[in-house]
Amino acid sequence: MLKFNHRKGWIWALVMDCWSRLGIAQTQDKRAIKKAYAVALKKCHPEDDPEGFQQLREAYDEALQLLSAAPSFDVIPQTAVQEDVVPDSAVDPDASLAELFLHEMTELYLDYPRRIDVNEWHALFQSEVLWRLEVKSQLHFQVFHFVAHHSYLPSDVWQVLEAQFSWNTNSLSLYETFPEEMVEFVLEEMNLSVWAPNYQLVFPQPLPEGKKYDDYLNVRAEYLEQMSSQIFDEEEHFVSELRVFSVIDLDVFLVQVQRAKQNNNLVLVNTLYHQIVECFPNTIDGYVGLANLALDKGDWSGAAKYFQSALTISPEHLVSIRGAARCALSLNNLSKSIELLNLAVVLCDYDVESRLLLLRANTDLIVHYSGLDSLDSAQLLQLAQSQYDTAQYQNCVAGIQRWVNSCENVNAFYLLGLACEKLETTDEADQAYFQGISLADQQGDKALQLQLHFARGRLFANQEKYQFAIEQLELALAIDEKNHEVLHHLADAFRMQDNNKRCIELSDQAIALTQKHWIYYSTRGLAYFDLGLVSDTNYYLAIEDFTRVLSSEPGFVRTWLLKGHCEFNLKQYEAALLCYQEAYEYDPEVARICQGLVRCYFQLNEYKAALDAIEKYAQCDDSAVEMVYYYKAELLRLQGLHPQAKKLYCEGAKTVKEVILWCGASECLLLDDEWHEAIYYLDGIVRYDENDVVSHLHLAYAYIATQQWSEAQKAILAYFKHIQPKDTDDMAYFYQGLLQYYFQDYTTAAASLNRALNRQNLAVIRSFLSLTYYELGQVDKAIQLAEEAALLAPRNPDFLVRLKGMRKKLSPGMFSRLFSKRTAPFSISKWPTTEVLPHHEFKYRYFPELM
Amino acid sequence: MRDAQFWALGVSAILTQMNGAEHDQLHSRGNTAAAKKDIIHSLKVYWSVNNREDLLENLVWLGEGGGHNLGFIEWVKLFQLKSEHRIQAYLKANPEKQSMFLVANYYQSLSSVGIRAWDDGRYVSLCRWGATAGYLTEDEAWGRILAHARDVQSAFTGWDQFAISYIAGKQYWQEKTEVDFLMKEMAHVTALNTDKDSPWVKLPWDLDLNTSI
Repeated sequence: MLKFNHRKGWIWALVMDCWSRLGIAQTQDKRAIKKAYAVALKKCHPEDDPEGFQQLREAYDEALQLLSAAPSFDVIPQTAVQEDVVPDSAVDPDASLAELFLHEMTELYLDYPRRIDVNEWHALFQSEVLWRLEVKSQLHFQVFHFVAHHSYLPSDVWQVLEAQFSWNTNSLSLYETFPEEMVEFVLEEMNLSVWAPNYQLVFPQPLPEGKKYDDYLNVRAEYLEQMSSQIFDEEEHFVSELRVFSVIDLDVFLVQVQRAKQNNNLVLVNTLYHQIVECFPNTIDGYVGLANLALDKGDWSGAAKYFQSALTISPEHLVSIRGAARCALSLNNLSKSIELLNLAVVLCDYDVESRLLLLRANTDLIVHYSGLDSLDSAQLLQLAQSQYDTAQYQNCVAGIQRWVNSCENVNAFYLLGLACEKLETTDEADQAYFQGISLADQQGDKALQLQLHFARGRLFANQEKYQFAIEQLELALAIDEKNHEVLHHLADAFRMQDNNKRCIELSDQAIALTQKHWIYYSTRGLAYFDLGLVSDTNYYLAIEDFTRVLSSEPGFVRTWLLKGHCEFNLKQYEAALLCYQEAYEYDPEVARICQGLVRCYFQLNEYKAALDAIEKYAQCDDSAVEMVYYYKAELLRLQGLHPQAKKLYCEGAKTVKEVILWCGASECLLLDDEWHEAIYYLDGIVRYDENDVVSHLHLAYAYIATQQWSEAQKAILAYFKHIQPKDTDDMAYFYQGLLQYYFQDYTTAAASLNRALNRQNLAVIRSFLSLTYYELGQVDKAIQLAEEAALLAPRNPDFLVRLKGMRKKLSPGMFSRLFSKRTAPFSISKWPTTEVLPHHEFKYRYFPELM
Repeated sequence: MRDAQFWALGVSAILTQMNGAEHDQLHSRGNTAAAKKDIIHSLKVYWSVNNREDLLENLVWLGEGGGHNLGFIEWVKLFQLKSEHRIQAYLKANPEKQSMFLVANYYQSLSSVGIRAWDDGRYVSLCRWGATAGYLTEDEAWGRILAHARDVQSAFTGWDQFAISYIAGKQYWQEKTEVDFLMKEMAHVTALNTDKDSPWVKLPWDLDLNTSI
């Protein structure tokens, strides 16, 4: 038999009669064919029986082809989709399947009780037709079009639809296919469906003559829309329209309650709430409404009754718990009130109303108990708790101390510890916690053990006894390893002990448990910041954490400052500048912020802004005169204004006598060959700080330049004593060799100068090495080095003189004997240095610490 | 200072307490040059107030403009039309919407006043700061403060309701549902309720603000 396959074209195939395969008699009824196909499909799933499915599919296709040109079954006339997305079912079997699906969906929608049953929709979407990607792809649009016209669906049904088609994430294709308004309408209906009115309605059966479910829903939607928009012109019309349907509808009730309240018709409000209770006995709205009405009238007992009814339905309903507590407070049932409020606080720890009621209840309770002759142990503890909660810490401590040792109540010790902490009697607090822990250990109460170890750990941390704090917090953590508060405090204690890695580990754990607390990010950020010197990555991570903190607390100046430091250290000066500017906005009187600004402007070569920032800095901290001199002088140096910088440095150095200015002044003086004044400041610096290697080196150079060889020798020795080998300045070996040469220690001098030469190919080093070899009698070597020096620096007359002199091949031995008592070697006396010796590089070497 | 004036300054008491400032002076941080400089800076940074016009604009917004309460009340009205079941379903589906949790928590008890105390407290504080900064004369500031205090007195049932409205407002504005945040605010309110020199303790809520001396 010749058959048509939509993918392969006409093919020969042996097949069963298509009607037999579909299990129906030959028909022109397209719907019957589709239904038959759908029934048969359930028996041969494409995955379980691919061959059977293939045959069924071909039979279905054939049956559709055999249909006469009768008009196709219109699933639901008003849902006709745009022509460009309507598949041609006459040629596309997938389109037929899609139509069949839509038909089933329409039937489901029209049957109201089924429509609002999410299980029906789940069942519908388990249909095998959705296994076919082509069909699903078509339905993506067709179902969307359908619900655009049939949008009265409960939230959970919308969720099923979104789970199937992901319209939110695929909205682009929807916008390309449908009018923008339609797409927006459907997506809004879906996304706000959780706010949509309730669909659990009680319709009269049968519906009023000629009315459909959606007629009611249309009127209701318009009514609710107008009421929530405070448009009341057509209120009566809508109310009478709704009345026609006699539907029991909670949303309409609630709107009518609000309207009655607006009209101060409290009788009607009361009636409506009673009707809600009657019609919806399993919801709390009616009871809570009646309770609030009773509260307004001061009918505490009545209100308490209704709140209790609400709590029977929903035991954790905060408003009802709080309301019941308020009633109990007004009825002088203080213990009950406090019990309920404590529950409310546990259920919603950010509820200010419960806290204030608790404050009131505790105040009343203290007065009440003060009037009693004797209190039992539970009452004593309650009294102490109330005193604590109302900030009466002295009374709390005095009260507990009278009886705590005669009872075995862990809570009493805990409370005593807390109150002692408030009074800053930390030894007593520690003692109370310690006793509480011993007792909790005996009783095996893990929760209290944790609470007390945690409290003691925080106490130690507040006293900066971090090692003890860590011990206690680790004990608490051993009881509950998922307590994020303990994790955080432990992290902070480790940070204070400079164990930043452990701090980060623990902070990670705390943050994994909750992302709610900015302080956790702050602690971790500080740890990353401290590790910034190890790796730039840590600065980046610190920036991430600080950003998170600032999103929550944008006014945290210190965090802006630290973030700025991170950016600065990453050489991201513009980003750093933004942080410092932000910090400055919040607090212009923090000197460190102004310093940050100065440093950024220096790096960004914004000299005018830098000068402004220096002035701001001067205003912030009038005691920091030396830093103001320093910044201003450095600013001049940066601009190449060396004489002005030197003048300012020297003026500052004389006025303020601070090392930082002596450093700057000495460097400026060295550059201008003003050796003696430079030596004055450098000598002062190294007396102040013998580890200042740079000043030792400067000093060595200055002494060499002034031919104070012994002083120079001391300076270079001090330099090599304090410098790390890896940090040794290249020129230091030259100075060392040169001095050894002058002191006629030629073998050592040759070694030092060779080392210097290996690091820097300078003519002067070659020249002095040449002189050294000359003194050692290695004339050839000396002449070769002298030639090289002259070649490298042909304009230096000293090198040429030395070269010429050596070429005369004088015997060094004779002269060394003749001049054995000289204080300087023969060669330098014969061929002295007339040019200024090159010196090491003078770098910026002092920037005040950021922190 | 007259009792009515002291009572009226009590409207800004939570903020004053938080700043560690004085409850019984118009110039809460004193009337020195340093205080003036400090307040001018704070007004600039936190309020974008650089002059008298800016200050008056903010006062209008906080007063007749409805301030932050305007948006909150819109939500209250919407919540009042929803069943508790629906509200809980909404919150469950949107756990990240902290401000909605706050509306859900307070919409019943604050249905009449909303979070206006948050605006009221700052209104009076702004008047005080404006006087110190020199943007308002003292007489102007007192006139505004007393008029606003009378409005506050007629709107609330007592300092407790005022405090709830104020803190709920601050929570809503900052979208804060952390307990630490609340406890810091509660410490100020507890102090105002227990300190014998507090305007909330010293004077009755229903003090006659028109005639009291």
